[in-house]
Amino acid sequence: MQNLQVIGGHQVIVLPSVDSTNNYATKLLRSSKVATGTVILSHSQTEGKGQRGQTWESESGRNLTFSLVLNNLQIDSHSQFFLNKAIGIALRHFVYNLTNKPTSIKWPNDILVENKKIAGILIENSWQQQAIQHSIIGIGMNINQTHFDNPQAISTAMILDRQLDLFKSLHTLLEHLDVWINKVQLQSFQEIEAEYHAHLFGLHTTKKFLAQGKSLNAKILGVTDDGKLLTEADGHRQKFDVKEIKFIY
Amino acid sequence: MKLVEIQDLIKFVSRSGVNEVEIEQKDFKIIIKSDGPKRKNKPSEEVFVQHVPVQAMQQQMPVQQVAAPAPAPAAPAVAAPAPPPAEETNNYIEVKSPMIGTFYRSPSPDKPVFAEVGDQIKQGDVVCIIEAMKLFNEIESEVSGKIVKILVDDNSPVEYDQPLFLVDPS
Repeated sequence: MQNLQVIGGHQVIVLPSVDSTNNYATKLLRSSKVATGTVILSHSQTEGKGQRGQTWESESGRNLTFSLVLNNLQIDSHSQFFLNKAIGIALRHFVYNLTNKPTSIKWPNDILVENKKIAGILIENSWQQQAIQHSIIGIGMNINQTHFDNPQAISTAMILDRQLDLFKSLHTLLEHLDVWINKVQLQSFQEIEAEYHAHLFGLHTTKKFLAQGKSLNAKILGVTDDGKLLTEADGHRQKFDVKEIKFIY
Repeated sequence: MKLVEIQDLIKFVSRSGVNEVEIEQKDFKIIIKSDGPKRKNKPSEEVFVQHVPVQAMQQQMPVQQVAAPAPAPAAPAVAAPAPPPAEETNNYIEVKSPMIGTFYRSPSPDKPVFAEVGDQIKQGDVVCIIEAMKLFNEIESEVSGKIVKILVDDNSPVEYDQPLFLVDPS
């Protein structure tokens, strides 16, 4: 039972329930031709994906949980992190325009309002040799949910004190995504870098981390082109992979 | 389209080596032409542009995906194919990593592996995932054939262009 709509030029497949919209998109891409820009939206995900092996918590019908399929991307593996940055920027614009609250992007790509997480991104790309075949951009944006098990989560409803229409919100969010994905296509990498760093959580400040099992106080200098966090502690510069370091906040 | 975007587009077009690009949106159309002295023998510059037709072609191939790899019941039997003589190895094709990252043999820790030694795979079948900075990259085989050897351990770091699988295409 699915329902097909067109929102802001995107084909949107609406599913009442699915294991994960990213999984659904993967299967769809294997079994048929999928127009670029197609959105798979579900009111309820039974296995919403967070990072590998982790899950994304969302109450049924209250938030935006969807996957955007892109199959005309022209990026190589060296510039793929710009896609991650651009999606983060688009989500930040959506949240900031709506709430007017300071909104930041926590490396690599969580969206924070008042140090609490409002949105997350999980991108799955597919490659054959050096050519990207398609990209599935999974997005979870907290909208109307007002109670979370995780005290570090927040939604637009908690900030605005009102509920939003999910489809109108989706439309606005897709517009922001289109703008920034287009910049990836045009290789406007400098603009993406500048915007990402303008809103990078903790930039130029000293933060507490857990690195290789030890706690570390380090100043955030930025995020490299290939997505690593560049830090400085005791005059010593160090780059970290996502798996090598954790924020403590 | 903003001025900056148009400037970026022009830069992009001139760098890419194409002669003409035409973009049409709802209420907007732009044509950028270059007089194209760039079309020297610089294949490396053109590679980027050539991705388009290549990709299109590959996408059309109906990938008759065997729903996720059945967790190869006969795995132990084929686990150790007799090491082939050195000269035969040359006929094997390497599936290489297109990026730096972490190599995973299964879609998630609790799922069966994508491919096992001895499995027949088709072009376009997913053979592994490389995770790079929270981007999850499914790697598809560019050839059909039998997996002869898996060259990297699960959950270990891989380098750009590092061979991951040996495939016997015959």
